[in-house]
Amino acid sequence: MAILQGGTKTGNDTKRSLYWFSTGTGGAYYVHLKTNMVAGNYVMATVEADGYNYGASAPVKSTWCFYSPGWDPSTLYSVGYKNYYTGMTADSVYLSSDNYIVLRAYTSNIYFLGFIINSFTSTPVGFFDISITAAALRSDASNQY
Amino acid sequence: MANLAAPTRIGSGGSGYVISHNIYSFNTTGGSPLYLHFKTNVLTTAEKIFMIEAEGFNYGLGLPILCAWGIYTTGSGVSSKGLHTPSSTGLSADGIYKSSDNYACIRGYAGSHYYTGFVLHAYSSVPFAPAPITILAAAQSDNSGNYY
Repeated sequence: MAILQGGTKTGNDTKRSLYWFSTGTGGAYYVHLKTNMVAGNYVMATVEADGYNYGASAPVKSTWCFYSPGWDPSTLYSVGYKNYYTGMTADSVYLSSDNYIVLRAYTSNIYFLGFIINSFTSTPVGFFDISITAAALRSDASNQY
Repeated sequence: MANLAAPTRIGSGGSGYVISHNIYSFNTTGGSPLYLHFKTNVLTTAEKIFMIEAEGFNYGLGLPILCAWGIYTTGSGVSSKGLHTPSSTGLSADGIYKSSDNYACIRGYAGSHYYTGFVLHAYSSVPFAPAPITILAAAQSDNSGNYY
């Protein structure tokens, strides 16, 4: 059995398990994931969280999609979310104060919440080697970064 | 980071693999035609069971893509074992059919394909797993009829 760690890039467009997030305490929180994607770098991507929320007794499968064009770096285009299960809700993509793309999700209970992050950049714009540079929990919906 | 060339095949199942990630990458820049056709290498002349899944992004619709086609090749034809498209995603698993030269084909649909991109995965953790699944051809059409 092959054990692959630290992210697995398959082909020219997919990266799996690029980040691992977990908590051990409870409460309702927003999860903020700051990426290495700077605004205006023409990244067109879907980012996916896969995991389990023990406290909410529900699986996690949430996606964020967005495009950050160089001709309008202050705006994120075609932003969409999809939440396939109820363990966590992807609900925002925003730009940090230093112009990086940040993903946000909400969960009513983070007691033993754990997920991995996958990315898909199979659009004509091309692959981007996405990574998560910081993560935080926040009790309100304000921007963390 | 491990860098694996596509596809990434995991586990043996029958004569093939349980999971094959990234067997095909597809993208478009134009908004139409709206129907997508993918011809697999699985012949309908033998009993095989497998599932194809698409994951990606439809920029034109502003939606992520996740949908799946469950397929059973019966020996004489092809039978849908479930088309799965969660609501509000950027591509619908629209249909399954047999090509004129007896290969299993899948069809997808979206209201726009303006800058759409996705990868296809194959799953076959069943006794009737086919040999390693590949996509032989892909095409777009204006209607839901068979293309191949």
